[in-house]
Amino acid sequence: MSNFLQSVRGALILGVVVGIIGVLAILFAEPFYQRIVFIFMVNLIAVIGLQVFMGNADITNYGHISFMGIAAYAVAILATPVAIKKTALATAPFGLGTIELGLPAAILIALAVTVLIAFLVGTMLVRQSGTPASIATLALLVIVHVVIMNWVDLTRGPRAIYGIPVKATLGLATICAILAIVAARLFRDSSWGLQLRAASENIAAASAMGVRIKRLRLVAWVVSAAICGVAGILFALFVGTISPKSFYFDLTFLTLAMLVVGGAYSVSGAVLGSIVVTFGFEIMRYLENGPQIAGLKLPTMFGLTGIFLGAIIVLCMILRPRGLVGDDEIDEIWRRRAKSRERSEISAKASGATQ
Amino acid sequence: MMSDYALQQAFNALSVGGEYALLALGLAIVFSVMHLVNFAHGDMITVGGYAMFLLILFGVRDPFLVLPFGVLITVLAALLIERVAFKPVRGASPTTGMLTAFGVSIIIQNVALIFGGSRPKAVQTADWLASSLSIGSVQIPVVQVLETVVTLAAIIGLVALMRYTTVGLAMRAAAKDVPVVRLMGVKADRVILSAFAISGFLAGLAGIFILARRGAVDPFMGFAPVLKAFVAAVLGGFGSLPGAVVGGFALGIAEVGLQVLLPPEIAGFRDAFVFLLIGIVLVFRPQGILGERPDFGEKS
Amino acid sequence: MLSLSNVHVSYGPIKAVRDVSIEVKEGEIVALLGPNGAGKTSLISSVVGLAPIASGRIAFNGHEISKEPTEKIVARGLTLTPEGRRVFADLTVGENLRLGAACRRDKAGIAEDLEKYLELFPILRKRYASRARMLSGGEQQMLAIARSLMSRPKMLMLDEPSLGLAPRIVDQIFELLSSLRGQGLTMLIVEQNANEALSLANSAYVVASGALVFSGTASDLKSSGEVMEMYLGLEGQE
Ligand SMILES: Nc1ncnc2c1ncn2[C@@H]1O[C@H](COP(=O)(O)OP(=O)(O)OP(=O)(O)O)[C@@H](O)[C@H]1O
Ligand SMILES: [Mg+2]
Repeated sequence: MSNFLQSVRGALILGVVVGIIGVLAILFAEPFYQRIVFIFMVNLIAVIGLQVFMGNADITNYGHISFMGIAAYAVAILATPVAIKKTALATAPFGLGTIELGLPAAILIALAVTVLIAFLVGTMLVRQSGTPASIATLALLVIVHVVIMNWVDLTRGPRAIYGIPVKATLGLATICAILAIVAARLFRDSSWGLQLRAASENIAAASAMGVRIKRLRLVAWVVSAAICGVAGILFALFVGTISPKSFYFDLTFLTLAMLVVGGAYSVSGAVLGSIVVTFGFEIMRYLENGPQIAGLKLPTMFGLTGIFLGAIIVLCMILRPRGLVGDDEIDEIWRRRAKSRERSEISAKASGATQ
Repeated sequence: MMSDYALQQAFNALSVGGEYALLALGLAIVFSVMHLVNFAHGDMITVGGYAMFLLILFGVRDPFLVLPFGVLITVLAALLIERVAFKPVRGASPTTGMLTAFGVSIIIQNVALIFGGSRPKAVQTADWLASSLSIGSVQIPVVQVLETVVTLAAIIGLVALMRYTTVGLAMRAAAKDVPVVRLMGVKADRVILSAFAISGFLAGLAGIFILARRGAVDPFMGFAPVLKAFVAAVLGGFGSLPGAVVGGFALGIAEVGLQVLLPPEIAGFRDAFVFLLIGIVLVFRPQGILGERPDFGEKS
Repeated sequence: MLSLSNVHVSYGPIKAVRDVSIEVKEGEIVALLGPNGAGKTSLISSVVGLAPIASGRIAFNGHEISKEPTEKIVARGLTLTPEGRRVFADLTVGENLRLGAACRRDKAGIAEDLEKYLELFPILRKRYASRARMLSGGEQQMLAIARSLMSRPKMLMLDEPSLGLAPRIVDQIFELLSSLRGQGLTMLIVEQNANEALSLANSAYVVASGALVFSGTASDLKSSGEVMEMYLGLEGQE
């Protein structure tokens, strides 16, 4: 089987899992749970976007959520009905207050803007690796947040933009998540992805590659930003209301926790981590609100989800710094296991025959 | 009068810069000995702040008891965090350390949230800290004067410690070569704990001034200062102690300068400029303005 | 004084030292020779706990030290002047020396030793306040040795003290080591410079590819043309 087909097959295994979650939720879940699954899909897409850069370039990225924010704001500003903008964004610059684009156009432009900004930022960012690069991504997160908070004419500042057409469905989000998985896996196994990973693991290879590794990092960075942009657009078009705090440290750490718990070095890790952390997070959120369990009224404990998040990050760093899945994709691990089992069976047979 | 205003702003810049320098020094000391970017640094201030709040709640009001107690708890918090969270990841990649620190930071903030609630709790540090000093026709807040003086004293003390004590020498040496420091018969553990103790102490001092200004504690109070300290440390060259001081004061002056000079419509973007500045420094001159060494303790 | 039995050193899958046993008696000077990459540095680093010992026993003055941390071993009186000197470049000469005595508490003794070594290494007195990075290679080597001596060791191990130094300086260093021998210091010297080392040593060991290929007295080794030629690239004295 060619490598390409193997990658696609590996991605589809993950895609089927995500698809089943989506379909089950669409068919059977109540709106409350459908909403949770939708947000899960959005976060999953962001985590996969994050994986594309972090997993291949081996640079911890704290800035990916800013691309989600940029895309969400772009689509919101372009697609919100003029009637609403008249009160909400009356002073928008560039005549944006008076235009209202159809969704396809708005989405495409939002993605294009995200990619363009990512490209401009990326050309500078990829010059560094390791901690300096990580801190630069953190600076990006803060800068984008400050700009959104303060460019009041364009974004309403700290107040929410409302009235965004609520057009995204859970089905659409599920399909987008599956496509993101396939894209991330194909990138990982492409010759670019392979070179990038090899260079990130090996100092000598990295310095030998020089300029080329910067270009590859840039490609990974832009692809990553585009995928995060999709997550942001879905979010805006589902919730209908966005504000700057939706795209800041909280979501950054939630998605980072998902990725590092699963394992940043594989798409399987991204998917598994998103599922596990979402599950734990929702349970904690339930407990946090002081539920009635077996007739016992628990106290409200706001902060429980945060403690959970911090604790799994710390525990994961101490116990399994490369995440639950580790360095290889799940299907690669299975294939290897199957092979070694086969081999041991053959050798067992052979030794049986000689006796 | 213009010159009065200038004098006021100058003191403002010095005291803000002093706060950043104290925090940046703490980050830099820990980074230099163990290559850990300690993002939980600011949350130690939060711990110290809540400790003071509790002590006052129990009826102790004398600032000469409350303030040292806050500093002490900050130091203990730093040591405890090192033991529980950072020791297990010692020797791991800087990325692992940084994520661990973020995890610790999130935990502390949310523990404070559960037990203290999200609303700020008033902490009366000391009346005289909130008063002002008249120099001629100018009113200068006592906090600002004290903060500048204390920062300078702390820097002088730190320089002496790093020059004249064995553990200070060992910390400076460990920044470059830990195995050989151990060959001198010094425990690596002792060096690292000392670094955390010092960073906690400096954070505790900064914490007093932060509290005196805000007059209240809340779960997230440590986050904004540590982000700024971080900028200062990066500006000065991460891990360099002189760099942290220079970076801290440079940032304080730049911030107050921008605040004064930027037209009000774009004054809100001040932090964006500041972070853009560190982005540029990181990308083009990761060794910082002092340019000691581009050493982040890893491949680059 | 120091005895290694069946020591193995591995870095993960790489086996750097295999089954080496060495004996150093009090007051003796032992040379440990061998080609590049033979495992000499790995071996003596493992003695002070700076390289991972896979198996084997190391005893110093009757104490099993193979599982002890470096600082404890140093406190017992066994230290190492590492390969490539590794002086603390940003610290002054004086600070380097003071740090060398970090494991000691006897202030008077430290001051006394400091004076003694400044006497023995006049150049260090002259450069006392300059940063170690300003020193030449030979001066840095002297500083590294003096720094080790400041811990008042009973035994000193030196890893290639002549590495990268001009012949004149190499002679100076060996003169110095010989005067230390005169004071009764036990030493284990790793060297590429076999002739110089052998002129000083009582006994010698040769390692190649991680294994011991010769052990005996220094004069035995000098007369063993085969070993000298094969492993040390030198003409033996038949
Ligand atoms: N930290 C390490 N990790 C992995 N392998 C190592 C490490 N240090 C040494 N080695 C390997 O162990 C072997 C022995 O190296 P060592 O430095 O001990 O030799 P040496 O005899 O001191 O050589 P030289 O004369 O060049 O100093 C070499 O193959 C080297 O590559
Ligand atoms: Mg060697």
